[in-house]
Amino acid sequence: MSRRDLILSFFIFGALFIIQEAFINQVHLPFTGFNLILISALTWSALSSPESAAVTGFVSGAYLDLSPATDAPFGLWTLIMVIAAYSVAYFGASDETAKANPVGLIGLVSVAVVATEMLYLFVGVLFGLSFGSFFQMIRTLIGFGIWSAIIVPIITPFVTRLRSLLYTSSL
Amino acid sequence: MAPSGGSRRRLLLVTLIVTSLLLITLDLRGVQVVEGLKSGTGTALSPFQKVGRAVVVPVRNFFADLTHLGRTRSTINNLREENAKLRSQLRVHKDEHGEAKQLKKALDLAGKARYAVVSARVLAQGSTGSFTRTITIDAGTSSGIKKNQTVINGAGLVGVVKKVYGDTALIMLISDPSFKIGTRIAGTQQIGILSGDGTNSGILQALDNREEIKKGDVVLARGSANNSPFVPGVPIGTITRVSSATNSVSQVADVRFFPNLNALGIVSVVVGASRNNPRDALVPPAPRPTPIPTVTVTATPSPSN
Repeated sequence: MSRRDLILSFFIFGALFIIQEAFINQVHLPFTGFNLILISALTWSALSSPESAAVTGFVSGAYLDLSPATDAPFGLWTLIMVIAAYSVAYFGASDETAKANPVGLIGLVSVAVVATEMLYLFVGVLFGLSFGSFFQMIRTLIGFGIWSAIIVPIITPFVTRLRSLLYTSSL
Repeated sequence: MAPSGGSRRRLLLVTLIVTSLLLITLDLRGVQVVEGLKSGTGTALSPFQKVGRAVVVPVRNFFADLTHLGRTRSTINNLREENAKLRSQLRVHKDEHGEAKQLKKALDLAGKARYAVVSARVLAQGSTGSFTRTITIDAGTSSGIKKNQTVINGAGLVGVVKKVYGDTALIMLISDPSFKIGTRIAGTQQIGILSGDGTNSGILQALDNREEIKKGDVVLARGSANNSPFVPGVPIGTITRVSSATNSVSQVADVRFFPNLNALGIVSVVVGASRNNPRDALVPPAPRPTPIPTVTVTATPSPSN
């Protein structure tokens, strides 16, 4: 199970990584924009078991660390994403609950995105990273929350279908 | 004994967290592998980013234009206005440059003959509904201009002051059909009378046949008593064709005027002339024919075996 999750995550988030770096990062969106890998990984994790989510978090975090724009130590995003994805899956949903309550899923992922960013800030500060003024951090966090609320409803159907396609076909 | 689901989950989680911490440690210790991974990713991403830029930038510009629609439109309008102003200024500068050139030539000519001149800008040329050939200049009695004064430009004679007003004057051009002037041929001093015929050429009637008029001869103003209406020595034109009948008393020739009467910008009115007649001093230098290079090719037959 974990090996398959690892391989699937490698390709899926690899593609998302290219989309993020090649396209989304070049669009100057207000409020810092959004991180497609982060949102997708947490959405995917919300629909997965905690073990799968941890692997998803590990791979997606590794891609976030690989981003040339990241100035944090390599592995920091990996650590954060493992914890965040596992937590979302632990506290979160499953395919059934997502289908039954998509608004709840959107709310969960949006909150999770902000919480993940806060965790990153916190751990980053411990590692001596600089994140600008407090006001700037709050503004960025609010921006991430808003963008998540916009993007999650858009990508959730794709993630749900992709998951069911991959996992149903392999069964 | 196989681990249970809960302990396996914890084991996986701990493994992943420990791996992450290991990666952080390696990076902080400056291990080359991690550095290489990042730089390799940057290199691998470069072509994708170039493609992304090509796709995203036009879209981004479109949305940026939408966002700044009002500002962009006003910028375009401002630039259009500025462009129109600059074009207008350029036209004015070109016009002024041409006028300055004409003025310089007129002053050169007047200076050579020691004429006192008043230069003026041509306000209007010709008049619709009549066959006269006239121009209106922006100088009149207030500038010291009087009726029957010679008008020249850098090339030669332009006409004569026909009417004078306060700040303007009407000049009859040498091409006017009623224009007549006493002339002499530079060099031979053969005298004649030149009449305008409504074009850029006039008709010269020589008053004696002792010297033959030739094509290319330069025609000058003979001058009038008290330099009015014509000062002496002003170049008028060049003979282009001689057409005299064998039994005619005098020779008749076509004279092409030196000044381009269709492009007059600045003219000078001669308000005072020196007592000395400049004679042929104002005759423009004959144009030098441009040498045509010739190439001679000599074919040497090769010796036959």
